[in-house]
Amino acid sequence: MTQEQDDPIWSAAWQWVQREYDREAFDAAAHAEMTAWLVADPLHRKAYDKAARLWLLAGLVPPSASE
Amino acid sequence: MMREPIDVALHLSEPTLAEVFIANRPQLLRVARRIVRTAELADDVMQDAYLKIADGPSARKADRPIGYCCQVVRNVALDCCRRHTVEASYRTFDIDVETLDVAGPPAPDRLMRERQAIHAIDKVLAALPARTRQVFELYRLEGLTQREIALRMGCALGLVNGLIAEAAQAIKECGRLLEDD
Repeated sequence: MTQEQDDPIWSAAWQWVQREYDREAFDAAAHAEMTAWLVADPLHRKAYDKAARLWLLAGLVPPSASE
Repeated sequence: MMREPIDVALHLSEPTLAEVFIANRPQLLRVARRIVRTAELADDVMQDAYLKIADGPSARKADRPIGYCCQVVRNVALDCCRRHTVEASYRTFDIDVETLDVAGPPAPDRLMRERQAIHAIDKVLAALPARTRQVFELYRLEGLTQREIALRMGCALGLVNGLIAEAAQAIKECGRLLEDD
């Protein structure tokens, strides 16, 4: 399966992972909205899982040396 | 194809990340325990984090090994909470989590793929303006909120938000490396 970077499902999944991580802004309403999106289509959940994995890996990059 | 750092440990006099992890296990376990709800989950997090560390996290060496170990444990623990929250919310929709949980046994090349993805993300971040990368690191690696970053850097929240979006947009492209999982 190839996924174009402008694939709307992948873009939406990535956006959700970003919103979810922003704990100051991600409230109960946003959470409910995300869940509704996730359950709407198994492809949504699949893309979300991948986006979440990518975001986790982004958190495992060593800090830059020049700080 | 990246070369496997097979016997790096043999050539270094300083301890490997895995050794640092093991030597500081109690401290790292406390980091995990502060984030996840149960001791059992904390153990899972520790095991997962250890695998990621022991298998060589990236092509680039962390400057502060113990700081890096804490970063990995914290972020793996936060991801564990995220996963549990998502699964819990499925239950409110009366959807059988069992059939939807896609996590099977890890593919043999999964850790290798993950390492390549981390390396790719590192390169993408290195190409960003210094301030963008700095904001990203405070947000994603250190876990500060956007508001905290704005305060620390003395700039507008909107600017922080924009810089994070810029970094996220650049990272998004690395998703292609995870395709076959």
